[in-house]
Amino acid sequence: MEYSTNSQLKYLAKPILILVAIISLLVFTVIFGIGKIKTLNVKIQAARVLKGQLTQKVDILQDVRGKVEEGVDLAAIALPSKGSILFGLSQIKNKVNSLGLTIENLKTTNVIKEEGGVERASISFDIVGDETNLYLFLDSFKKILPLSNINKLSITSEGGTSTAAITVNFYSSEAIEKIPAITGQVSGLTNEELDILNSLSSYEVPEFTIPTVSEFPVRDDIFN
Amino acid sequence: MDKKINLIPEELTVPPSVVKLTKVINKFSIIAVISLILTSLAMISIFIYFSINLKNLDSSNSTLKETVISLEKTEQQLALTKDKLSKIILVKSLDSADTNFENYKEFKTIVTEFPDMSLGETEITPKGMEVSVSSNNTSSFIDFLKKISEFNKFPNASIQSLNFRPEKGLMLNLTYGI
Repeated sequence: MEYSTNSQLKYLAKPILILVAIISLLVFTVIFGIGKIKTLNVKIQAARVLKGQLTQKVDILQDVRGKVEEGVDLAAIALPSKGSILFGLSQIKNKVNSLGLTIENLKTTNVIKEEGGVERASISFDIVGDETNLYLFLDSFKKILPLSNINKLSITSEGGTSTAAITVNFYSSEAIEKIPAITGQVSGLTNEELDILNSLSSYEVPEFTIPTVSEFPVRDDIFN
Repeated sequence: MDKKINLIPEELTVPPSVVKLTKVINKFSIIAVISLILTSLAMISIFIYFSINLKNLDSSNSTLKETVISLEKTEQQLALTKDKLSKIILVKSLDSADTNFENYKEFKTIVTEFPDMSLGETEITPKGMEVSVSSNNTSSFIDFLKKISEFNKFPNASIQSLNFRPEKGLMLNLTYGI
């Protein structure tokens, strides 16, 4: 018996078409589904990373809250944004008076920009007085705020009385104007920074005023 | 006995092999449908699970962002403090005459061990110090020279001048440097 090819094809066409349709649908479902799941997964990973960063940031901020509340003013006195020369003059005059020394030829210089965002202004003067007290005076620059150091010193002593020509540098720095975005990373205070803050608390602050921090930096992106 | 009755016209009949192939295709179709249903269910389940996960994460991130905003003042203070501290570290690392002043005090202690020696003008800078000493007593002067040869606070030391003046005796100018 001979079979017609046409009838065979017609007989096979329907199941094949159904199978092709189902497989196509399956392939489409898999490709579409995996695509959607991948997109969601990427979002989840990003959200997890963000959560980690925010959690870490909150932990750091809560951890340092007490320390920076005290430290921010101290750091601002140690390195004021402006007026370091006035604070310096106040410290020098107080020390000279308390140690019974005489100060002469007081001169100040303009503020000079140093590297790393630090500015320097110098005060030059001559001091006359008891040698021991003069040494105490010179040593005091290691423990006064704003931060200072002796740049040049010329000493002559005769019969217990000493004369010194001194140039002292006082330092200042502009306050930063931007803080990172909400999602931006922050790092806590390192051990070195904590040690410096602790040591600064033993320094003598200028008597005539204690500057408070009024220039808070703003956030980089306020919508973030 | 059963007798097979074929009512299909002869031109429409198909060979048994084609019928068999059709059955196989139908079975594949059933398997494909089941796979499709299972895959769809799995995809939908994963999608729902991931969506819930994302929603929870977004919600906790919003809470955390609010906490960060509430801690903004602390963040500002931290940023300011860290900035100032980095510059304080820089300032503390700058060269100054303070260290050399300490060295000068040690040098002066050596001079005071010799009553015949007198210390003249001393200039101290971050790079070193220049001192002037004099004595009328030559042997004391020699002993002093021996003593200061042990003074090793500076890597470099050089004699700038050695003079004699009748009224002051021997005068020595020394430069110590880093």
